Amino acid sequence: MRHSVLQFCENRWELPAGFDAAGYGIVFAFLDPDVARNTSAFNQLKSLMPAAQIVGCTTGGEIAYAHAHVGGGFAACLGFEAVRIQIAEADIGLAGESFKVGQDLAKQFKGAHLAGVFIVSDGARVNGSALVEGFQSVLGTKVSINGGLAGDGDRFGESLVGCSNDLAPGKVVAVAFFGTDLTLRTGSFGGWEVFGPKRKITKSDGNTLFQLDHKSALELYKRYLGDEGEKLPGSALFYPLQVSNPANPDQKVVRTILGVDETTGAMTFAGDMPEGWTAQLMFGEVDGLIAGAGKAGKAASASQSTSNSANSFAILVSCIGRRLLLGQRATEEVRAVIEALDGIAHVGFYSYGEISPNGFQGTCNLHNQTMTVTVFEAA
Amino acid sequence: MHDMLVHQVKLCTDQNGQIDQERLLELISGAYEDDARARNRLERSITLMSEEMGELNAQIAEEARLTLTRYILESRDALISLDDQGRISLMNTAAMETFGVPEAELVIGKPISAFLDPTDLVQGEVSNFLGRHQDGYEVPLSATYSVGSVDGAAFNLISLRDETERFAREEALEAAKIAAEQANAAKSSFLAMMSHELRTPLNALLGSAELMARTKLDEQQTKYVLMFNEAGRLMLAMVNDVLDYAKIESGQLEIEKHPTSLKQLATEIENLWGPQAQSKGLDFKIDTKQLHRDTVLGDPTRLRQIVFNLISNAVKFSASGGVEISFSTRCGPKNCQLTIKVKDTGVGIPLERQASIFDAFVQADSSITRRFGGTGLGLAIAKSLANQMGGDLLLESKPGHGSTFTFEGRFDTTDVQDDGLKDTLPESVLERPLRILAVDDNALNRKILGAMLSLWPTEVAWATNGVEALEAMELEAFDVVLMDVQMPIMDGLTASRQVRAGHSINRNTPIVACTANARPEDRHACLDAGMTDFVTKPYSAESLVHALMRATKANTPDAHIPKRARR
Repeated sequence: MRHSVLQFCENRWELPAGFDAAGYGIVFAFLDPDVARNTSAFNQLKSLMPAAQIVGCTTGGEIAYAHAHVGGGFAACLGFEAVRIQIAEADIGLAGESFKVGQDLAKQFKGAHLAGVFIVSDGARVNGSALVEGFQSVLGTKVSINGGLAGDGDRFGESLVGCSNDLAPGKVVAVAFFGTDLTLRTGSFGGWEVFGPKRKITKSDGNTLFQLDHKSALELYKRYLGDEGEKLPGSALFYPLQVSNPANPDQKVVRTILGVDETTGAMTFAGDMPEGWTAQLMFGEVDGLIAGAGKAGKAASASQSTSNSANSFAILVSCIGRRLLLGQRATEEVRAVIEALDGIAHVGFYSYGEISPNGFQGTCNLHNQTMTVTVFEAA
Repeated sequence: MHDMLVHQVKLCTDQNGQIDQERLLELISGAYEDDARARNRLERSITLMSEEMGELNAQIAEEARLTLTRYILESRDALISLDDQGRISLMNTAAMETFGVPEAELVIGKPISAFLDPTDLVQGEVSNFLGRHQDGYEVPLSATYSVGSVDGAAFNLISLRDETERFAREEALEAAKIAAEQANAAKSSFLAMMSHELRTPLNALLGSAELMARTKLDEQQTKYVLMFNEAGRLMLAMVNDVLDYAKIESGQLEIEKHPTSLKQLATEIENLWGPQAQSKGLDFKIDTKQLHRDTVLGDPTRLRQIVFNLISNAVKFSASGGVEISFSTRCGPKNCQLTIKVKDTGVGIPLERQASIFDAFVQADSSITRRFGGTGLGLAIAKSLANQMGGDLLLESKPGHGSTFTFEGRFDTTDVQDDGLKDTLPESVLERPLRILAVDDNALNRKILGAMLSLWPTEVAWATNGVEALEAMELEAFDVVLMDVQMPIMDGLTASRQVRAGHSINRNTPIVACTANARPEDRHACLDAGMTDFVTKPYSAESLVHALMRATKANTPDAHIPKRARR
């Protein structure tokens, strides 16, 4: 396979020497929201590689060259020999449509040997867990579904996604890879620790949480955030929630906050918060998160060390919450992944929700607050 | 240089290698601030978590306390909780009722010693004691006491039970038991009295019949006298059965232990039942080949009663064929298991009646009572006796093919020989004429007795009570005294004791008790009073002469008290 990473600098894409625009079939562009809005970076890529499919989204930070960036723009150009790529796009109006949109998109994929799907979705309107369940309901739980939800820096406003059209809010783009030559490997890990009492979700609606143990969830967050409460909703990312169904307490997922409504006390999360489920606050400690990222890299590395780094490429999707907490040390988690993958070529972004097969169950799910690594490997 | 600083410097260095110092300081400062914020966050989280856990624990403790309080207050059992000073912290309605407390508020905080002695409470055990009712009286209580704590504070729980009703119930039960025992004793004494009252006229009846039989009678008269005698004997048997059954029911029937000869029992059976069976045309066999031991410690009278009852039935219900009786013993060093099987070729017992055949008042067929008579008590009595002998009475029967009754009993072994106060002597002949003092208050009985004694060479002096008897014994030496027991003025027991204790010439004369009181305790009373032998009314001329024979044979100065009385 061929791969190349481009950086957007001073209003244009810097091209490495000998860059052959015709050699790439699919391009993933991860752009700072301001860059996406104020420059023509996305359209420039389309002009540059007219034959390729260009998929772009805004971020909560970018990852490239073993660093975590803010305010940048990067593109991963991938070219395959015996891999067929199919793209499906949809608009999403309300979070409640997420499952249906996932189903509709998945139904468009036709062909043998589906190696995996990479989803780039709006991160503000979508219920990520419902979207992934929609895909799963059509493709089955065994297919490797990866990707992430677009971000809006640390502002939690509109996020943009695009492919055939311009970047726009409320879009979902799913890329399907067909072919026996391609292998997708995924690692996903948080590094957060639960602490404090286990609570019960006593009032919620879809992915909106109102009460824990019959008390306002927002008040609880404010109490824990102290003076950082002024920076809500962003600062709420410091305390993700681990939720689990009491009927199946071993299967835990981490939920991160997307928005807050001070008037109603509603807190919107990136996935479902069913009433009756158990929720426990989590705390991220810098070194723990960095170590967690390393574990994600390790999990995505080939079991045998026969892989040639020239034949593989990693897309890193980390969580905006991690970047906010890690601050300038976010780079260290990127390095932890790259080291675990022997310096693999890569690009990535900080998202509002990571999509990957669950590390333990093998089934796909929406994760929050993780470092999720998807390695594409093909001859 | 730290990786982060390298990165920061790189970010602030332009293409010409110039460092933007202001930007660099900003980045470094930002990193410090990040770090400080993270530390603050961590500290805050730990503090809040501790607070929350504390709140949660307090909440759990409060819930536990409320649950416990609710349980105590709602329980129907009387419950009181105490603090570490033994003061009442809760008292529920049932406990308030127990002590007559109108309002719980009145006692909260008061020491429990107002109601009970705290030293009566034993942790983890049920204790019984008297509590103090508010109205001043004592309440019988039982209590369990458990010591515990809720949220660090002592929470000791007393669970009480008011035992007033139970005690009242137990008292009533005890009273009922005593009343029942008294009633039973009254019944027994009534039966003994009835038995005596029935035996007295029976004595006259059977005595008359016997005497009449010894006179010259024509064929018709002989037949009538035999019928007369038979009816009297049947009535006597029934009186005995009823008395035995009453004693079994009241637990008064005692099995005695005397050296008992099993071979002699077999001989008696042969002598008594052989002719009867043969007269019905039945074969009659006694098999003693398996009888490995002769003498055991048992009650010969009762053993005879059981076996005779079985044989009597066997002969009675076999119209043809025969009756087989087999004896066997299995003996250890100290005891002996005796089995006596009585097999008949009679009608057999229907399967549905076999289970109840040993019940009182039950016969295999209700028509049997009509055809053969009897009280229906015989087998019930026999089985009870067998049980009391550490054994049982069992039945195997096939309707139409006869029945086998098996008696099993367990006896201690003995080396002492049966001294055989034999009821059957070879010949009823007195060796010499006897001078006899006969004491009886009943004129009719005196007449019968006189007539019977006149059959042998005897000379009889009469007394009608103990005083008269003593007077007679002062005047003249007798060979034998025949002494009625129940008499007006002075009874036979008193008279016997006095003569034995005095210096009269009849101090060592054999005294034979002649009484209708047939119970073993009556027999013992007689022997204890110094009498030498015992003849139960109604007596036959035969039993009378045997008693006289025994008395005169044993009439040596030291031998007037037979071995049976030396217990």
